[in-house]
Amino acid sequence: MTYMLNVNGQDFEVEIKAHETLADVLREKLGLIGVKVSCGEGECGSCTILVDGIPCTACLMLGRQGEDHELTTVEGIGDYNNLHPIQQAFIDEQGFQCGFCTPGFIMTAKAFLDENPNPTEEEVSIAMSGNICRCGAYPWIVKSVLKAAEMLRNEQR
Amino acid sequence: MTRHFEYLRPESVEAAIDMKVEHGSRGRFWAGGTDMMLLWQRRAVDFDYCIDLTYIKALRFIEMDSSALRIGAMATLDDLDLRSGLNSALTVLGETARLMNTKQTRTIATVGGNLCHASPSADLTPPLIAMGAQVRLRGSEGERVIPLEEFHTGVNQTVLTDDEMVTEFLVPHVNEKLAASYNRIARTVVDIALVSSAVCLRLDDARTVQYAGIALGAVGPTAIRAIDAEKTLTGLRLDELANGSVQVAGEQASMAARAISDIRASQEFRTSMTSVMTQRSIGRCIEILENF
Repeated sequence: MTYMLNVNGQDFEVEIKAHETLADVLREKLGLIGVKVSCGEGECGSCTILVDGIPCTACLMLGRQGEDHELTTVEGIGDYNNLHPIQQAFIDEQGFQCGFCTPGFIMTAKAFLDENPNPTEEEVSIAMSGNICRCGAYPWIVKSVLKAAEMLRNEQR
Repeated sequence: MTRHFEYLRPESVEAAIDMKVEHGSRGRFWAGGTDMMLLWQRRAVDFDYCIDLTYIKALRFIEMDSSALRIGAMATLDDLDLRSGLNSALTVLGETARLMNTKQTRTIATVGGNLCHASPSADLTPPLIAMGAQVRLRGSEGERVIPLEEFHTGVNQTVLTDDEMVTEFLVPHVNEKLAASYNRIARTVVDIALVSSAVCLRLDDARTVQYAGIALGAVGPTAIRAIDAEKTLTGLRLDELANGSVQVAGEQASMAARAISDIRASQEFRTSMTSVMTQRSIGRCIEILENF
């Protein structure tokens, strides 16, 4: 059976099996491989996407639960030629080593900065605590998010 | 072997119960699904029909009526966090929710799911039981309201019959001079509790403890009420509480614990920490009440 998913502002008719996770549907059916699945158990945050702007681990959601919502993956906030300020900030501040966890961090940061555009370092650390980086880039990730917050504030002016 | 998995999406409680009646034990309610997804993938549960409750809007609410705080079964842990601070009951529940896994799973996981999974270490169980919460169940035969402490019957076991579901939790007396606190020991922040203790104290107009509720988590197959410790605190004036009765209550809580040794901690450690966690929770309640 096919169902309608709204992903990154576009409607897609997707074949979804009842037991498939939303993360698998986005990766395998829509080719959105920015949705990384690391632990597959909701511990690591790599598969974080936004569901109506709220961060959710896509590995713990059923594909069908993506219906009737606006889904956003890392591909939806910027592309190679037109990076989102958060993506640019992660490059500028070297907020990653291997980069596998980065899309999850960026999506968590997106939801967080939408709520709190002017965070303290501690608030950033707490907000990012749902994502795991096995390279241990945490100090640079926090710097990246603070830089991104500053860039977004400047953009608004 | 291919396993059967059919997805059903009721949009009302009635429709969900009808589906459960139709499919019996071959159907399972799917709340947030953060536990169910993993249990299904690991083949720890088996069913043919997934009855997804996330589209039942009427079950997702947190509201106050004149006498009680009402929490819908499908309110998420993140909803609890966001409503934290409105009163003592919501504050302790919000603080507890923030201890549970990560933000991006709290937006999916539900209060009802946490309680129905009936894990002995579930974090929401002790504070809700300590506050004297009740749970409303709905089935094909009608509704019933029971004390939450009677809801769990064993590890992953509840009193729910085959076609019943939880619709809401009721926390009484939240508009009175009430304080509650939950303390736990866990290896890391995303870990489950090794030992936990929740305390709720309510004062009357003479600033005497009118009600004391103490519930211990992860030291028995279900949460345990520390009845003797509750009796020790009940009837004392707030300013008398610090005079050794906190320590006595802590020791009595340890005596009530029925801990086991497992890969996470030994029986001795759990039993002894039960006293520490209980004393910390009582101490925090006293702090809150002194400011009332």
